[in-house]
Amino acid sequence: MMTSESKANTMTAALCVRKLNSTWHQQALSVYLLVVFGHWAEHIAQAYQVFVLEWPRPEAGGVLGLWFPQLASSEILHFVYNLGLLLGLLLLRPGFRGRGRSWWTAALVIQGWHFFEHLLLQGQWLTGFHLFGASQPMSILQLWLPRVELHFIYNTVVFAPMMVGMVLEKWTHR
Amino acid sequence: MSNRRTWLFLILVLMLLLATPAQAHGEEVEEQAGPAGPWLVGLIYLQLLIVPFVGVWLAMELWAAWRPCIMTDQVRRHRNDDKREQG
Repeated sequence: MMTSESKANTMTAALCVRKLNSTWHQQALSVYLLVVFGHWAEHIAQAYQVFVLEWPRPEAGGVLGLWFPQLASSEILHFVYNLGLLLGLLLLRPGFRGRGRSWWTAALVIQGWHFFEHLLLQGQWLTGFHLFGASQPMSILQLWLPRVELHFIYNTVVFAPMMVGMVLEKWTHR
Repeated sequence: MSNRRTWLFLILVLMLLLATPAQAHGEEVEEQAGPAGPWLVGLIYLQLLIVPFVGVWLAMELWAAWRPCIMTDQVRRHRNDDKREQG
């Protein structure tokens, strides 16, 4: 049974989501995508440091990692960022239409899996129990690809459909 | 409440399923980290090439989205200033 206070809270939240997907959709989307873009660029920088400049993996933390090394190594930071990324994809989805929405949904599904992998990593970091008997936290696809490569690819395959979705939305509906 | 318990149980089972059969080849997994294949270096360079264009486009999008709000605020501020001067 819902109290009148919780009913009011639910209605306010629904109203915020509606506003976010109508009046404020373009503004929210532009800020959100700029943050995602920054993160994607950091993963490219990190991959460049490892595979082109051949830096040792622990030292390759992207551009911000040069000044703040804990940014690259903090498991909780990655977990929270990916949770935010997933929530953003969910919250901003109703504002898309047609093929733009299909591409956005594709990004949402891939990010859902990416987040699940981070959930596993976070769980291992918290409990100290490592999957597959490894000496460090492991995710499932890390069985086939090392972490830097894997998350570089994850960020690419999440960001690309988001961009396509946004371009389609802009060209076909605005 | 029972829904939450069901989810917790399913997650626990899934984690156990994932952890148990693969324990044996954990060491092999860590050995895998080797040099990058040409496809990966190609992908890095391709993305490096795309990054500035996407960055500029997104910055333009950001400006286009927020400009009306900023301008409206500026206009409102100017109007208030004018009123104050007149009053």
